Amino acid sequence: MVHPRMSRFFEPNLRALAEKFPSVANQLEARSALVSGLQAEETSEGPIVVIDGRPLDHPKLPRQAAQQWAVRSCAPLRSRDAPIIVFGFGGGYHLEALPDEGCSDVSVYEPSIAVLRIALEMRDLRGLIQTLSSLSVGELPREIPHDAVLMTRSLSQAVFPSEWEELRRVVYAARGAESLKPTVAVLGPLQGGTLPILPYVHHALVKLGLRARPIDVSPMAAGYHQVSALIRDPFRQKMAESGYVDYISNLAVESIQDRPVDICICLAQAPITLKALQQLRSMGVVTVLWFVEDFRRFSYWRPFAPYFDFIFTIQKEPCISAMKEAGAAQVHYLPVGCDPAVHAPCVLSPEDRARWGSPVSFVGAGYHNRQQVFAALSHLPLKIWGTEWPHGKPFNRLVQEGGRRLTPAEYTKIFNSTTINLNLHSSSERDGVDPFGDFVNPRTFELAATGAFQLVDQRSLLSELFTPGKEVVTFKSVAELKDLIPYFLENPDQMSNFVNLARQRAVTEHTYEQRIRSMLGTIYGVKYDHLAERRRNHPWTQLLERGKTYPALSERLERAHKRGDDPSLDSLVAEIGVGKGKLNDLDQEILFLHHVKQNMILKKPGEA
Amino acid sequence: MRRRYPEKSNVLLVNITRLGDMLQATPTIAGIKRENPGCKITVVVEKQFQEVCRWIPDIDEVISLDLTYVVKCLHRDGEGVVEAYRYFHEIIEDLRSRKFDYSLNMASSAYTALILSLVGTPRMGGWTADEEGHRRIESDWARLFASSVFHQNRHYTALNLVDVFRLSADVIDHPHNLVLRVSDEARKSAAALVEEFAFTNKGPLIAIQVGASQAKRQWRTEKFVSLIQKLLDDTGARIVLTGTKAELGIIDPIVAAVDSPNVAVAAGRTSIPELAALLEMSDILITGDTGTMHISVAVGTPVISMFLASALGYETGPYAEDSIVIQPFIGCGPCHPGKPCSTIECHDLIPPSVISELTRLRLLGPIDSIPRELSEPASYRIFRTTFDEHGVWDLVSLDPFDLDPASPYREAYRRLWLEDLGGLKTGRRSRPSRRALRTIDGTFSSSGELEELRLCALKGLSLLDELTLAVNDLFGDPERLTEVADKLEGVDQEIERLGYHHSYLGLLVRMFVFSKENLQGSEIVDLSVQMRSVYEDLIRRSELLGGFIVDELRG
Repeated sequence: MVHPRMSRFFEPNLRALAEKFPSVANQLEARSALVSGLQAEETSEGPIVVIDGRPLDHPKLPRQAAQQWAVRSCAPLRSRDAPIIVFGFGGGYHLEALPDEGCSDVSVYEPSIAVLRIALEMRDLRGLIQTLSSLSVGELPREIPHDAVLMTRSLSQAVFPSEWEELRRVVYAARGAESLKPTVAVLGPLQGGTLPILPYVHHALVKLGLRARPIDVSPMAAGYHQVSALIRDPFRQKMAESGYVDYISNLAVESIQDRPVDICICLAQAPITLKALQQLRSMGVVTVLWFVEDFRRFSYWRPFAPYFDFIFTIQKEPCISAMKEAGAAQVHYLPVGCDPAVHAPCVLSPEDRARWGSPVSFVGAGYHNRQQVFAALSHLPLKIWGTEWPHGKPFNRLVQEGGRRLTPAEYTKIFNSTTINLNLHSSSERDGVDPFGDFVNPRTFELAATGAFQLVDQRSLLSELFTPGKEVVTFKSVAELKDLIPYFLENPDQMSNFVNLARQRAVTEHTYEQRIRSMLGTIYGVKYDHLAERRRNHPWTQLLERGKTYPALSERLERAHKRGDDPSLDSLVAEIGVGKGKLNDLDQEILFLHHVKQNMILKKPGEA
Repeated sequence: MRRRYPEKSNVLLVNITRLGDMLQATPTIAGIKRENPGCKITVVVEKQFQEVCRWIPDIDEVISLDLTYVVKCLHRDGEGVVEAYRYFHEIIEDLRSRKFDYSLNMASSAYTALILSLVGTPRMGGWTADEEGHRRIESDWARLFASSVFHQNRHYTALNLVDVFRLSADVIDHPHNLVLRVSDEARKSAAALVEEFAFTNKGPLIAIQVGASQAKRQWRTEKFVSLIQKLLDDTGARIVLTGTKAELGIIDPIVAAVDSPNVAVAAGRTSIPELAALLEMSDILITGDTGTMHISVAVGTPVISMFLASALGYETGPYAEDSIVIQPFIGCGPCHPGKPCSTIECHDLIPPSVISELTRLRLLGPIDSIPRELSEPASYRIFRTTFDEHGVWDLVSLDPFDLDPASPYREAYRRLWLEDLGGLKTGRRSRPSRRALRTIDGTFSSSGELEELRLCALKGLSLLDELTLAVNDLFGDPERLTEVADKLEGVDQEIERLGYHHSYLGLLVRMFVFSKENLQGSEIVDLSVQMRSVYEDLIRRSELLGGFIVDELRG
């Protein structure tokens, strides 16, 4: 309870707050003042905030303790001009002490609006409010400078541990995005629907300015299929397939040993063994699984869960808890997305429109529920594209080009030349729309980014990604779908609004670039120190550092580094074109080293 | 003699390849000093040969390049790249600061060429690189060097590479031998070593170098065993087996098989100066084409040398008067240096008894002729080394009958290069008439291809005229330029085809190709003027060569 004497401070403080941070003032006005367990207590140096018996300021000498905290916290700062983020408002004493230490750019994140309220009630904080650069309450600061310094008060950290952890993550994510620049490998699957995500993730990493290395093992899928052609016995077949996967997994590890990376992102179904994951970890590589599948339908993740440092899923609860129970240390929700470089509107020739276009289309594999639903729509002008569809009526008429596997570029042509794109999430159990379906498939984002109109089945996680009825049109049942298709075919003018808004949302919020940025932010938040240490010891770091003595060489090294090349002489040689213009001294010196290497290192034994 | 840069005051010599190459450069180094007594000679060598340079007179300064260190740095990538760069950059800066007025690189590797290009002296010889990184071979002599070592042309090599190297550096006055200083200290060590061997024989001290740079150039163990036994029997010799520690694996079985107190192993027990002193003490050296052979020549000890497999006596024979060269006479020899051989038949063509007999004869003094029985099998050729009236090294065949069909062409080429590149007179010459060119009737030529080559070059000249007209014709058809350029390319391709098809023309054509590579600039008119001179060279050389071949075939 706040003493009546103290409440006289609130109104003037609120006015000051409204002037400097109006949104926070609005939050305060919208919330009740009464929060149980929260109270102000008097000390000889002024009132302090106490929550559930735990003080958020020093219980006896809050002012003196705050000054000591400020001195201690500022001591390691390289510059007092650095932006500072303080976790916890408390009674405000510590914030008042910071300007005395020369800190001018102080932002505060206070997890509880009630704590702020009681602080404003018990003390005159108008002066303090004026000195703050920003104040976030209840939600994490939207923009965090990459050079922000996080200052923690153990009193607030003890009371709000998970919120502190969250803030720490975003601060380190911002710092890491600017300073870590890890080298990232992306291991794709042998085959299947996840395969196209490999280049999208690679593009995203490159766009983020990282050195990325896709490990595409899909050309080896033919070998995997050959197993069943050579071996009939199912047990032997499994053994041989498992051996083949082991081989590919070893190959991936060899590849990473050959050209080291800091982070290895394995996409769902990536052929990686537990042993390989252990090896990667022992090499200090941060192991990541982006499980872009239904955790219920595919359970192969279970034994792998403890071996990944991070698992990102496209589902929330109960998926996250299940994975944590299986031993995963870090599980985070991360939906899939779109790549605007691929998923974009395009102009098609009349021939292309004739080949790929249709009033109604569906692109995807022939899962059980899709077979049921599309058989019921066979009277419509429907084209089905994709694999694993049954032979026979009505699919032999609906399925296009023999049910072959399509490329992402071909998908885009279909999306662009179709009036209504159907998007029905797969289910092996349901006959139609899965009423319990939660995650959102890649097709939803791809169609939206392409600027194609889609009818998508309702999913519990869809509404936080796209607004149903505004950006996408959803259906709950086959009957509803049957009504929607003719409606939109007859009213095509009503589609454009959905299409425009969905595209806008997709390309601004749901790109793979944003997903990967978010993924890396999470990784940096937890593994910042580890990755920073690796960066310090990375051959490129040493190479760039040593190269600074020679400006021309340094410039060349920087370029090679940015290109994502290896820290080797070959990267420097790649830029030189003999016979393509005058070579400068640096070119010739590099060529000298290259020829020495060619002659003396690469010379085969026995050569004269 | 024609010379480009006879005067030199501050010379850089890049010679970082091998011990033998370093020694073979010594007449050039001595010659530069003789002709320019006040000049300073700096040599860049690979670190492992730095020590040898101390014993070469006339070298004023040695800059060693530790390529092993560079390789180690590069091998670890990362910051090793910068370290390798730093190391090399500092050497280049150092070399630049010395303001050389002349530099010469006779190693054909791309990296040595870049050293010259980076150091950028006003006058250069040998291999360098142009501003776009292309190979550039300065001077005709250096191009001849490059053309001669081009494998398919080696049959027609008639000049020792020591002389080609020397003439590339425009050196006339030179010692008629390789040069290496032997210290008294080394002499003492060598003498002590020989004493330690405690030979029971009192005969000549014969050094034998068993090992060679390639296995296929290393005479077989049983041949050495047989030779040594014969030498012991016939001459009462004291035999010292030279070489490195690594060669003990091939030496030990020979010693075991001969099992004589008069066969001792010096291999692995001598430094290079001590080896030089040991060879100086020796009466003769029996060897293949090895670094030891060059050391022996340098210290004045005669050599009996076998040029097996890829080795060619004309190319790298012992650069001194009165040494003996034995070259197997076999269709596949000299074989390609880079290719292995599983049936080294050339080894069997030289009987140990012949080497033994030649050794015995040479120990008596210079050999001017050989007994008929030594040359009868016709499976090898025996030569005596000598110098002609211009001080150019030569091989004189000791066989009464020269059955080598390449000989007339080789001789013709020798005269061609000495006259055309060196401006030296080499004796009578038939008038180089068209008829002569058409009627050459040697084993290698019967269809007038030399005349064909000449006509191609003439056609090239005429096309160049057309090209110049087309360029100057402001209102002409631009297509015309392309058409003429295509025709020129066709002519050049035909010239190259003739070189490949008629092996004796290879050397002439390779010179043409290298000269073409040396064209500088990008302006058509400028290039056309340079190209004119390349065609004119080919025409003149074809005519001269034709005349010389006729002379040789008649003679």
